[in-house]
Amino acid sequence: MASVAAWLPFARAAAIGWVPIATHPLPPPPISKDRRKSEDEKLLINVSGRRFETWRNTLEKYPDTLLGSNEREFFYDEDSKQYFFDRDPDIFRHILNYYRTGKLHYPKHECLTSYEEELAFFGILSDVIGDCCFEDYKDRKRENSERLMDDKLSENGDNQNLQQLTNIRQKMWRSFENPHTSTSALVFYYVTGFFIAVSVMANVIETVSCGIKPGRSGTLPCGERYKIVFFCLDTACVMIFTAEYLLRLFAAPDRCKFMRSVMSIIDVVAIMPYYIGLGITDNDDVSGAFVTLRVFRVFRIFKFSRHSQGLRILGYTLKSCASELGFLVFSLAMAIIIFATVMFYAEKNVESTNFTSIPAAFWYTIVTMTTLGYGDMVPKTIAGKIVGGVCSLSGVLVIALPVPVIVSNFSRIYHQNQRADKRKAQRKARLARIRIAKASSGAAFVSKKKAAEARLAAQESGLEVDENYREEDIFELQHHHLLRCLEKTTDREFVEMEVPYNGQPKRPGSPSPMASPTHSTASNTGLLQACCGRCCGQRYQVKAIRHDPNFFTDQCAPFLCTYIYLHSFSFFLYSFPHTPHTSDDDDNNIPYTISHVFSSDDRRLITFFN
Amino acid sequence: MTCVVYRSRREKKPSIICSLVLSARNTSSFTCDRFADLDLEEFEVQPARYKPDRLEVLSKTTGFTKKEIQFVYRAFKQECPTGMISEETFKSIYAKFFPLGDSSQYAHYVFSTLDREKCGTITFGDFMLGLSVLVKGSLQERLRWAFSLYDVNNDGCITREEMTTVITAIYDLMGASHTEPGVLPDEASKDHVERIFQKLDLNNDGVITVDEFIDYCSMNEDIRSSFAVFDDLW
Repeated sequence: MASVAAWLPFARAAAIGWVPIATHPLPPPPISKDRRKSEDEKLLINVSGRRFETWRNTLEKYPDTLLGSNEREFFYDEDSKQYFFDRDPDIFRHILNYYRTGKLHYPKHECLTSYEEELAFFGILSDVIGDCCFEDYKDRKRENSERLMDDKLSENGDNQNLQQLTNIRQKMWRSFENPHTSTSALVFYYVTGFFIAVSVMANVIETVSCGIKPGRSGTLPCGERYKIVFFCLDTACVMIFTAEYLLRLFAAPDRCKFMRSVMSIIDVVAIMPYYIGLGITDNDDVSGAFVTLRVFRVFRIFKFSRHSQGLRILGYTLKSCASELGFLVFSLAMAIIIFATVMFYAEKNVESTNFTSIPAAFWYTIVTMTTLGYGDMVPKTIAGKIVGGVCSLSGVLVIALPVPVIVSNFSRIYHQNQRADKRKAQRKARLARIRIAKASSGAAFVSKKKAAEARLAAQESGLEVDENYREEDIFELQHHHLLRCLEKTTDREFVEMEVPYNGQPKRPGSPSPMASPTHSTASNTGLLQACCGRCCGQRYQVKAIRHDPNFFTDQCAPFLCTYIYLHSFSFFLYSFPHTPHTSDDDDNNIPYTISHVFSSDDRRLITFFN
Repeated sequence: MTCVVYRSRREKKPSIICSLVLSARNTSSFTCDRFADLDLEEFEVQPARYKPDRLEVLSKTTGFTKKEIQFVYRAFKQECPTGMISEETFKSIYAKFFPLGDSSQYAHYVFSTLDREKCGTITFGDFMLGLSVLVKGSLQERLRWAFSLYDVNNDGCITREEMTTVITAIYDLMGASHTEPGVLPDEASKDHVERIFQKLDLNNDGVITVDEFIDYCSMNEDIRSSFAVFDDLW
């Protein structure tokens, strides 16, 4: 309502028109003359250095947003008499325009998430985006959410790999769906692929001629000559396929859904002919049907789609382009009927013509429209030739129209898949890089902590201390002090542990390649290792740090506890009260230390330190 | 006072308004050169723009302070960037003030009262003049303005029908909630009109003339005090 606040005086002035007809005297005005409303003032808004100025009334148009309500007072800077926001000034421009014009626009070059964050910060709903930009916004949002879902699914997929699967069924199902999870799954995958190929090849070679039929004219196909061999081959393949199908059926979490899925139908269609053929005797009546059934064996080739992603994409594309394909078929059918009819009547009176009926002319129309032109049916009259010419020209057009749509759909889906795979591959590298960065910052943290401890120890022992604290030192000091308070509170201490040289996660119990001078002190290494192996569950994250921050390893916990390396300023985690001990082992050959933060679940971890 | 106002209007049919041509034709600000019979070729249609008089001049003619005029102009320009307000915009603004009822009819009457020349749009200058009459005018002027609100066809007298339509429009502002139970809306406005006519139509000729209107309203204390309610708007 505030947007028309300036018009209110006019509306009130015009209300004198009601006065003559008013039945009762009108009430006195609400605001007395003395209390004049303060005149409109300009507000200064500083967004990350870029200054915006606007009238107060403009902002108060939308009182349920940050800028329009009292919430903006939180950002008011008394010294400079301006509102300061530490946000993106480019996006703020659009937000301010929303107040000015009432329409929120979405800039196409901005990232969707950053834009949404700004909107959320300033309390503006994304529904108010104007119509001009709304479509684009929604499209981007949908892409974004799809990508997020993909990520989440793949994350879940990864997580699932870590879970212990409870029973055989789930394990089998998982190995069927993701052949790369275990070696047996991979073997199974390749074996079935091989047998599909063998079966298809056998079908093909069966029909090649191998010689001459004895006593008859005509060639003998290999299938007849080596009947037994091919039969055995076929039997073997079908047995494998049947076994595979039954195993999948057994492992499927939802059997009904599995039986209805496309792949399972293909499987069934691939193996049914064999069983039906077993049942039928070599009778002339049904041998025709028998031969037809053999045709269905070629569907085995579709079983390859489990093995090939490209095939799946093609199938998915065709499915998603169903409407375009339907349009293509429909328009072609229309054109065929029209042209066939015209051809038929044009060529009707020619002697011994091929165009005996309209359906007979269909064949000619199809061959002409697809520019094949076999030449088995040719028009002889002039009218027929003209129609034939028009037919072939229009055929090119009609077929060319829906094809780009299908192609672009295929391309889009294909690229999406590529992107998903690429993202998965990149994720691993990205996460690894992030872990390095974290580790190096962790190393910096630890080194600073050590410096602080050194300073403290020097102070306590009366040595002179360098008093030139810089800003961050004070911060670090306070930080460490806080951590120390925490340690005192919980009666525990932070521990440093070590990883072996090559950084590989070590399974508990295996000897470490690095012998450290203090190895012997960890006489309870065995206990520790066993302890670590047992109770360092999968929960805590361990970072391996080195003084040289380039080295890193990021392994999950179970493999990490090898032995404790005592550092001069190391702290230890105890589950019972323990006084902090700083030994003065020389730290010259300590290439690796791990700062190991145990989760609260690891109560049973006991480390000894003498 | 005739101030040379540079004015170019957009006509109902798309036609080219060549600013140079029109400025040659426009002289006084009170004529209504609505229809450019100069139909030049169809270039891009430029929407007509209105530039108001200078601020000092406007302030002098209307009696408002500069700040007040600035305040109103900013809101006006925000709503109507071309400098002229059309009836639809006017109606939409009124709709925001009276959300419960149907304000289109009343807005139409107010608009036509402001739009003396019946152009279909009101320029900012006209708007300010109208506002100055309403706020800073004498009682006589305001009563005249009110009279012209009811006098729909501007013939100098208010008939029963005219008053009924305007009163119905005012009742419509309230929406469906205004009638007392048992009374039809038409009945209520008819009664109202009757009462008014009895009071105002002194010579009982079925119409109310300007003089009757002004005389009656000047005499009536209630009306005078009610007028004073709207004296100060800022």
